[in-house]
Amino acid sequence: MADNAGPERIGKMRRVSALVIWLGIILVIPLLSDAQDVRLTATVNRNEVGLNDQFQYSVDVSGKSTSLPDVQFPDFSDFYVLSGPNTSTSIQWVNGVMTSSKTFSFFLQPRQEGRFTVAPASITISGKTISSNEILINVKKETATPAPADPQTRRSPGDEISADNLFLVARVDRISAFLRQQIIVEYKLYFRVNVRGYNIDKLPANAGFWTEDFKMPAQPIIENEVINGINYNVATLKRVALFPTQVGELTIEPMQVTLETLVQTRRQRSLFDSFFDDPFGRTVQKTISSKPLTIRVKPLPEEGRPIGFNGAVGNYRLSVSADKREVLTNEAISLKVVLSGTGNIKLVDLPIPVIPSDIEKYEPKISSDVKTDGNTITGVKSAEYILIPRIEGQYQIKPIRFSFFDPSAQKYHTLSSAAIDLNIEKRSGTIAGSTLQPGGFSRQQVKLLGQDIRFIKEFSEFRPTGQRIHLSLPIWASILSGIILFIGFVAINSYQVKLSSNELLLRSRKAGKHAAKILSAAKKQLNASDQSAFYKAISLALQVFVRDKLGLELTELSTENVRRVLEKRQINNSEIEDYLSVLQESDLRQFANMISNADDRKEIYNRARDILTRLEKWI
Amino acid sequence: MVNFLAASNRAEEFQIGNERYQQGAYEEALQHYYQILSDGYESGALYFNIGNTYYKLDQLGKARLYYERAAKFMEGDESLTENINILRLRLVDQIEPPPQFFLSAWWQYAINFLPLNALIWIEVILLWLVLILLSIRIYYRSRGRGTRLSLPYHTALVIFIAATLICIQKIYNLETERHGVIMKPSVTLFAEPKQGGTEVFVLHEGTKVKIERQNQNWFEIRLEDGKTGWLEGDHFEII
Repeated sequence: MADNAGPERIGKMRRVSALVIWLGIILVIPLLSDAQDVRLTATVNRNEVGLNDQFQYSVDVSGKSTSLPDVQFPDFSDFYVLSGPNTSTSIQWVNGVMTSSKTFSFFLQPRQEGRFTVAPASITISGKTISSNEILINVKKETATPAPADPQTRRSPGDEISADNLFLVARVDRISAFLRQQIIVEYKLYFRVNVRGYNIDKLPANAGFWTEDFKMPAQPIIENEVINGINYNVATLKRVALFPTQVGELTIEPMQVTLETLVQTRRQRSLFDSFFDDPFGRTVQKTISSKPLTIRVKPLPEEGRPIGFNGAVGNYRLSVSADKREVLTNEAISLKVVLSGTGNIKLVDLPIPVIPSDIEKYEPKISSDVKTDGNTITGVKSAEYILIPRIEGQYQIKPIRFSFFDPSAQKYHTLSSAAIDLNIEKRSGTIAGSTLQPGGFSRQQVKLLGQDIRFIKEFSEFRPTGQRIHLSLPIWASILSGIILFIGFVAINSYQVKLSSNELLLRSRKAGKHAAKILSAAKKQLNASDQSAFYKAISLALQVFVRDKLGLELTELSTENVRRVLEKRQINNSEIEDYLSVLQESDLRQFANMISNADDRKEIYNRARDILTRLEKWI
Repeated sequence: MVNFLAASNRAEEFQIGNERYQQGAYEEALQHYYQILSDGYESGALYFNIGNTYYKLDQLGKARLYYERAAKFMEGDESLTENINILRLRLVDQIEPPPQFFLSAWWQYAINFLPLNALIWIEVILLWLVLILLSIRIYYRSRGRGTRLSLPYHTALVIFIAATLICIQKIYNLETERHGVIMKPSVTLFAEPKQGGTEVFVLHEGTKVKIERQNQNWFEIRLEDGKTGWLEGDHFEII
């Protein structure tokens, strides 16, 4: 037993000490918390009162501290204080955080008509003064509205669900926007009644807007809001971001909700009525809707619009990065283009990088992520390109530009990424696993990057319109001149050939001259001692003449032959006889060695000359 | 002197037109080019540039018309052939000419190899060459000194005869054949020269057609693939 008692006692002691520590933590933590967590709110249950009515003024102090300091109440000199301050305290634990609140309430009655301001209540914590809100009270002579009195006993169901106590408000963060600028619409339910549940009947169909819903918690968070001093519970039922896609006056349509409210049963009713009712009240369905809103949508300014602008509105950041900058050929590089920011990122087109043509680019993997749980719609859109360089060298991916319109600054911005330099080394052919032929990729044809028509002609010679070249003068002039020159040449040539090729004709032409030459040589021999030379010359002259004239050879010059040929030429017989007798006499005297004097010789010479002259005429 | 001044004006207009084209002010460029035409002057380069300008303005019908007009002056020009081919790729009507017998294909190629104004001067030079060579041969042969320059002479003669045939064919084509380019986006062709006849086929802007005959304002046309049909004169423009 003794052996067992030891551990048991130790266990008990441990539990006690743990409890003490926990208590200490619980008590000390609130004291340590900051004074700034303290909130001070002043409310009234109504702010229009008749001169004889009373109303409730409450100051609510809430904070994380248990020891809340005293409240400095305002001066109630314009009112009679009927009772108060009545204090009520509550402590709440929410998510491990303790909140305590203290409510001080006064029942006041106005002293006179008019508008009065209840000054703020204040509180001083660790040297800081925190003030509540001011409240305006309008005091009229008569009671404006039925006296609210105690809600527990006097309200009817109809009153309770009046428009004052339950309404839906659509609230926009701006009423005038640029095209595609983000507009945030909040649908808020204000209520002072017990709402058990709601159902959105009609979602606003907003024509002319691209709509993006915000993610809402499953159970709406209920907050307090004071409007004109009246405290409302507020639940945000829906938040949407609208991106106008048209210019002009656009309407945000109302949203309609059906609410289930719990209404307290009247105590004055009969026993049976209340018997069938819910002991805590009756459920009433009520349909309410928000008011339509009008948004004025302005077009984006023309001024300063960048060239590459493609309609992105909002505020963006662009980053372009490559995972590697120094690689071997045929090794993959991942190029990431990331655009992030506020705006309709789903509808924004990512800028496309310009990749040098020796680097193969594959279709990008595009992903977009839109965050709908923040205050505004933000998102990230990225494209990942796989690049495979095929040829070694230094390449540069040129800076990528992206333009957008910033509606808050009302200015266009152009983002430009940094240029990315790639250094591609040649993969040596001996590397294991490389099945490529050395230089297998380096041989390639000039790639056609685009096709367009060829450029215009810079120079031109002009001709009168409608001129037909084949009918033009220079052509025909040159053709005809060529032909005429040719014909001329042929004619002259054939004439020349006729002259030169027919020597006999030439001889016959020159026969007279030739004979005359020989005769003149004979004339010199008239008085010479050797008579045979003279007669030889005379004979030669006669023979040469006939030979040349008739185209004969010297051997053919027999008397008979000459006579026949001359007769053929139809020459007078007397002439033929003359010729032959002169020739005979000359031959005879040449060889017969007859003595002849100068007169004889002169006679023969004259006869020969005469006959040759006469024959020249005949032939 | 007046003529010289006018010539420099034309060159200037052409220059300005080219500058406007380069700046992308195509409408203005056209005005300058048309000024030269309205002055009564033309050239292959001018028609080529007008064609290019219309191409840039995306008026493919007119671009084709002016390219085809340019072809009459600068047939066989490489840029022109390429531009017409690029333009044809963008046309709606893709007409495949039927395959030709190889000889007629060669003949067609020979005919289209050079523009007439160049060919006709080559023809003149060839004529002179043949006649000079022939003269030399006659000179020597008539003097009994044998036949000379046989190969050059016969080569020149064969080329000359071929060139003459091509020239005659070209002149014949030029004088007898008329072509047109469809100018409307879509034109229906009929079997007879009357509205409401049997519809034969539909042609689109930029298609070149051969004009066979005329009947008042109706023209019978033939396509490269041999189809024929009638259409009204205001749907196309004669090259």
